Amino acid sequence: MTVRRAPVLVVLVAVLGAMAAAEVGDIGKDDGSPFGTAASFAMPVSDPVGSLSSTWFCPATGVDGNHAVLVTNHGDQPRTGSLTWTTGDGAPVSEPVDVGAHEGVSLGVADGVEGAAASVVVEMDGGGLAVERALRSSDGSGVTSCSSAASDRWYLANGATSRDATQLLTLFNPFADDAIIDVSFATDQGRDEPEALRGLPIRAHSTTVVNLGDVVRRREVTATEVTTRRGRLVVQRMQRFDGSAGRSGLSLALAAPAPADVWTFPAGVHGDGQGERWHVYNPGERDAVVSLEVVPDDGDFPVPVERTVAARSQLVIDAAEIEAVAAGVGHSSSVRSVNDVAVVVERELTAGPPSSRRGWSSTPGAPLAAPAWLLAGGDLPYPSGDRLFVHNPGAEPVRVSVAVLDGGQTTPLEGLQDVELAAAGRQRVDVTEYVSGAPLPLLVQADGPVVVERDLSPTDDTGISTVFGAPLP
Amino acid sequence: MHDQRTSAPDRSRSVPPDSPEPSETLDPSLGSLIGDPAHAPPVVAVVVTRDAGPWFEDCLSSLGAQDYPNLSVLVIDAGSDEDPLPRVAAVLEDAYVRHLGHNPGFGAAANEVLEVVEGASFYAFCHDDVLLDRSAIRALVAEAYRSNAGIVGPKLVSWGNPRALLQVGLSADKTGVLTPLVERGELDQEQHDAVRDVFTIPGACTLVRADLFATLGGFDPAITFLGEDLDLCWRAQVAGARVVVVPAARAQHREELMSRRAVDDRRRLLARHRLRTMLVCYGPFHLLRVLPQAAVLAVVEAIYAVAAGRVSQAADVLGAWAWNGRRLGEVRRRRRALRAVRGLRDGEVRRLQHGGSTRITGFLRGELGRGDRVRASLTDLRRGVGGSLSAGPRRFAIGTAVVVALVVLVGSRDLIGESLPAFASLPGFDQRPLSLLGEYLSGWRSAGLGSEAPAPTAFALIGLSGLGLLGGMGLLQQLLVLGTLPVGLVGAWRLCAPLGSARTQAVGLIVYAVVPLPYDALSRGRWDGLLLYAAAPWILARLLAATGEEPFAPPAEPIEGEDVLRRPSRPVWHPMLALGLLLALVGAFVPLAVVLVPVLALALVAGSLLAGRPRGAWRAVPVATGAAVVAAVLHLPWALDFVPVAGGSGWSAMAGISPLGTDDLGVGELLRLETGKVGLSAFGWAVPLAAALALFVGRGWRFTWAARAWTVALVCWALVWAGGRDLTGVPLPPAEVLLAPAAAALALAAAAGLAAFEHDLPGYRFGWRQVASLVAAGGVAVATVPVLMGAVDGEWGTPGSDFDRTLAFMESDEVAEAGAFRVLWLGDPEVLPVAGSRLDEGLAYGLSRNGASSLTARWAGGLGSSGHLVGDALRLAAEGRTERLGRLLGPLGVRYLVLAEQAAPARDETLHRPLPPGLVATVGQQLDLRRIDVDPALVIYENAAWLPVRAALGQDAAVDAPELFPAAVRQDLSASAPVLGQGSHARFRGEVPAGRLYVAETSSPRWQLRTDGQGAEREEALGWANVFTVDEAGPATLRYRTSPLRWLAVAGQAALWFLVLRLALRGPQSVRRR
Repeated sequence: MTVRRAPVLVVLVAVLGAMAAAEVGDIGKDDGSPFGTAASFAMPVSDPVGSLSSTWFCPATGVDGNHAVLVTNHGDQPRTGSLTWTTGDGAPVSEPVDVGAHEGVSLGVADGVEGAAASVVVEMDGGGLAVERALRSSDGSGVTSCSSAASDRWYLANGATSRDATQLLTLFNPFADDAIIDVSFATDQGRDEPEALRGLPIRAHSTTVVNLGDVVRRREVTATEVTTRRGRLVVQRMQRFDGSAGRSGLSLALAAPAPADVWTFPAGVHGDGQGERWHVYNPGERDAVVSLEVVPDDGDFPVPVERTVAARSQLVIDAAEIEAVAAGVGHSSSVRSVNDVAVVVERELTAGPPSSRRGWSSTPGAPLAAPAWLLAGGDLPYPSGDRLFVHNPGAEPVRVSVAVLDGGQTTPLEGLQDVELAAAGRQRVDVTEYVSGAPLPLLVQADGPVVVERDLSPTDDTGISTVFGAPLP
Repeated sequence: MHDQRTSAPDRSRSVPPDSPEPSETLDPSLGSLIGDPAHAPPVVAVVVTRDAGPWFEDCLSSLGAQDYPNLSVLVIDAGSDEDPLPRVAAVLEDAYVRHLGHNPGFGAAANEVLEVVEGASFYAFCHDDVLLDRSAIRALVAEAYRSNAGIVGPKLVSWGNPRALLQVGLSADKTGVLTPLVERGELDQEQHDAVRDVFTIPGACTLVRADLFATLGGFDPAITFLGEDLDLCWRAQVAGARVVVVPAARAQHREELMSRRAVDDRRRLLARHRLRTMLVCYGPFHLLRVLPQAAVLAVVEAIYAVAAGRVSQAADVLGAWAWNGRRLGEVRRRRRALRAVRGLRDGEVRRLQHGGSTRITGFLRGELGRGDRVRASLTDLRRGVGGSLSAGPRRFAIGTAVVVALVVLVGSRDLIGESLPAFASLPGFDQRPLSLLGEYLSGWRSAGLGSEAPAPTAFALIGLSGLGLLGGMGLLQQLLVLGTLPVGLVGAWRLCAPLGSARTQAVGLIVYAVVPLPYDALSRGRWDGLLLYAAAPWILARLLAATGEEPFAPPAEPIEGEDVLRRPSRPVWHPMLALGLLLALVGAFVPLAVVLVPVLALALVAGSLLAGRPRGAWRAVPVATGAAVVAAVLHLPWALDFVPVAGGSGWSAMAGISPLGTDDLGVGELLRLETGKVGLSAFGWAVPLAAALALFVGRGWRFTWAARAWTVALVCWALVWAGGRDLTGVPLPPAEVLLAPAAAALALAAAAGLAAFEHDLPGYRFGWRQVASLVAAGGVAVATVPVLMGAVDGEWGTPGSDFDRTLAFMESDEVAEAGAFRVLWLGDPEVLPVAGSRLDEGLAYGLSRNGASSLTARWAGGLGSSGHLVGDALRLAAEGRTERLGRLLGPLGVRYLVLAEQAAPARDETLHRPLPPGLVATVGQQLDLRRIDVDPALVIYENAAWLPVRAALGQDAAVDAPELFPAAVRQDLSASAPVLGQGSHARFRGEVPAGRLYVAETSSPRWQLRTDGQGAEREEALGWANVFTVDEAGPATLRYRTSPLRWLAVAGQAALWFLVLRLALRGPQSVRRR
């Protein structure tokens, strides 16, 4: 009998070969489950309006004074929820809170709660919120975003433990489990891993404030990295300068939960008593090559400045040392990693004579851009200016509109609707020219991704205070 | 009853034209004596007949033509429909015909000779389908005198083909199983023509001394058909008479009696009569020795028969004991009668028996109980151990089987007799049989959040099996888990049996034994894979038989009225039912197997097309499809859960105990059938290499079947491959389930390769084919290495412990006092010890109750209307839309969240599937979960906001909202107190306070709470659960009232199983005969 083997053999080889070839094509594809990706975040973001609930974490400041928690709701429905104050010891104290639709509220510390070390968890029955925390103390005033999530690692690229400085690290554990953490530093004189901050337990539902001056030698620059062996927490830095060495004022900054490839700062200026520096911390195991791009309001774009940041170390770039950054000209800036090694970047602003302002501020930038941003507002514990900076980091122009949330409605600001923002351009808005009184919640919307920063520096006191909005999904 | 003498026929005309001439081999003196009519001892030929066929005249003619001078013929008609007298008269004029008017059986009918004949020296008992040589009677009588034998018999040859030997006497083993002394069909070259003592003379033609016959009381009248010859000969020997075969006397035999009895009827009769003879003939001492051995063999055979799906065979084997048990009085009487004439001790009688067991030998050859071949096996089984071992291929095959059994035994030595760890889909048999049956009968299914979905049939099967083992659930676990290995291997042995050679069978067995698949399944806790490994060769064998293609076609049978053999045309429903029954059994655990079988049938068709032999293979498709339908019907009403439109769980329910997910195996791993750590990649290639031989050197059916087998394997591989890459549209069960048929197919292809080596290779000139054959042979040898290495640890890499021990704290009194709870398992579906619902790629969740998983929590499905709630809550948390997952899960009774990334505790090296980082982060973000460190393989959280499954609500608890999550996220219900802690499944009792009582089971009006004889008002709570309003505190009972429809459904299902079982096991012949 003649046997026709070819069809069988051809089909077998063809099918198996096709499968093998397809496998080769699959190599390198990420097949991990994307489940729960929302749990990893780069900066505080507002939950969707339709969320079942949203939670914000505001670590304590560690400084006596007047505190305020600003909660803003841009949704069409009023929100109810609670503020749960957590101190270093004692049971958490909860109080109800209601926020009307398109409104913001300013809440003081609940009765019986020690304000300096009182962290707070804001839980509301829906999304569309932004929460900030403000402080006025004898050493200065400041405001910062609260965090929309906890994380198992936090980064701060700047800080100082010099003789004139006090740096307090607030470690807030809002969970039912104890956390165990390690804190390490990259300073201007190398790395430091104090024994006292290795395996440090942070009890459940507690706040621990660490004065870094007690554990780190006097250093001009300290980049801080907090990692957990177990559990999650929220980290904030309070930096204060007494003026004995020129710098003065108080600044609050929420740590960054993750390094990123690009950090954007819509506000910036130097010269005439004002200083600006970028602190870049590379927590990775490879050297990072970063590029500083400054976009001035007027004049030519300067050539980007490239620097190499060694692994596990920090680097400072001073605007004054870069000729291309014109003094006295406002600008936006961004620091971008050009070799895919993610970094953490803070921008430090200082002001003193001959400038009319005095103060010091350092805050991580925005690692992302979004078409809508919500900025909390309400009664601050100090009188403040109100300037808004909107930066278009894209290569195409965008149209931007600004509205205030007040009286139960969102009101567009006349003259600030559909304002065209050129590619890489920025818009500075003196909000007080449009609305009077306490800084109101703001909603910034654009037809493309932008980055929004607000300057709420006190007008009657020392201090520079800037805060980024919360991107809306 | 009456006698008649026939009229005188023309004797010369009645001699068949081809009747052979007498052989002149008699002693001259004896010859002269019996050649003289005056001195020749009278012999009466007794022909028992009933509705004899056309051969009857030839039979009578041969008697009439005998050269023995003093022969009379007595025809005993055992109730023929048509009076045989005219036919007898036409051939033998002076024959006597005695009409019995009924059919008492051959022995009882033949015993009539004692009533009607006097003065005879010998009786020659003949069937009505024998054709004696002219000198046969003379030779028998002469030898009877010369040997002083009590019983003598002729050499039996095939009717119409006298050169083909059938029997030259028979031997028997200690239990009375007959063994032929010649190879059936062997060419008669006078090689067996020596007079010798034998244990039994086949009943076709037997010359018995008349006085001995009378002394023994004739044949045993209780032995109607089959076995009367053994009984008579055995008793004759006990009485001291010799039983001798006289090859000089020759008779042609049609063996028509065999075709007149149903298959199972013959088997039943043989089993009964064999045991009866043994009980009667042995003395007390030997009976005590042999009877237990026979009992053990019977049990083993019954277990094997059940495993092989032949329950009727098991019933026959065991029923023989019951049948004889009811006749112990008769047996005692007959023993007394035999004792009175006993002339020899058992030890002397047994000299002519052979050692060992013919049944075991037959089993090892795969010939035991082969349904369609019972007729052949009746004679084939009569081969002795000596004969088996004397043949090289047989010796090789039996040796192979023994070695394979030893390797499996040694490799499993640490698992046998031990409690197997419960991990992945390998369950702990932690529930009592009655509890399982209760859950099966109940209308409430407790899996997940509870539902009114019908319970899986497996609960009933396991429960009944547990009852059958007197509650020995540990033993049942061993049988259902470890027993899959031998069942699969026996299946492979039988699958390859039709290929003709013992060597091919051995190769098929080796290949199926050395694939890493079952051992990987064991080490990965894949019970589903093991079950499919056990079932695949049996399923494939059924499909192959359904094709009717050579060599899997049923054997040819003689057609009445024709002198040709023809393959019977069997109705399609019988293989359909038989396969359906097998599928139903497998489908009770892995329902997807039911869907898989039609796919395999289609693959056979595709393979046939590729091989250029499309004819025949298509027949497997309707059989497979019908079988799938039968299996589905047998699982009603559970099968309704597979139908999404009927409110069922759909595809997820089809999983059964299989975790649906993706098994991302590469082509190399697929070809090597390597899914785990057992197996060495380099050696693993040897199996497909060996299986490929037939594709290159095979001819005829060897090539065709190799092509079909490879296509089946290819389809299985493609399914696993596509499933692992999400190309199938639906998640598929683990690779072991889909690869088991591929393994069986490769075993078949390898066996076909050896058949090609034996049949086809000699036809080729020396060249690459011979080299390829050597390579393939070497491949088979090399392929054994990984399994031999895997056998060293004695447990195939199975972990030494499970999560039951790790999570024992959940069953502590302290935890139990806080109330009933659920455990939410999260992780890769392959490592979860519960049936998982898919959450994302490589991520599933499942629920267990009050601790680690239970047996019933392994079955997927039964999600009910609330089945989505847990998944919804997890997704809300994953999307960052809440940090209060604990509150969302609290009203569902979820106290613990267990994130598993390994199938067993960390100290055991077992299946490891890392948790998605997003999942860990998501759970870690929740404010109301408290982590508990127990084992690195698990991340356990306790829910601070949990609510007992049965709880008395606090004053402020608001559960009236129509939706669970918005209401739950706003309040902490954890202050509720547990109630109704006693009871199980769907009935609980205990003291309850006045107020509202929350029952975290899916809402149903059939949940009823009675306090002090009064029913409490029930409402739906939180859109999914139940809340009762209790007016007065006191003792209360909460129970689910099962619908009468459920009872009807259970009764209907039982009736269906019984009906299909009966039809499938009785066979088409039996049904036709009715």
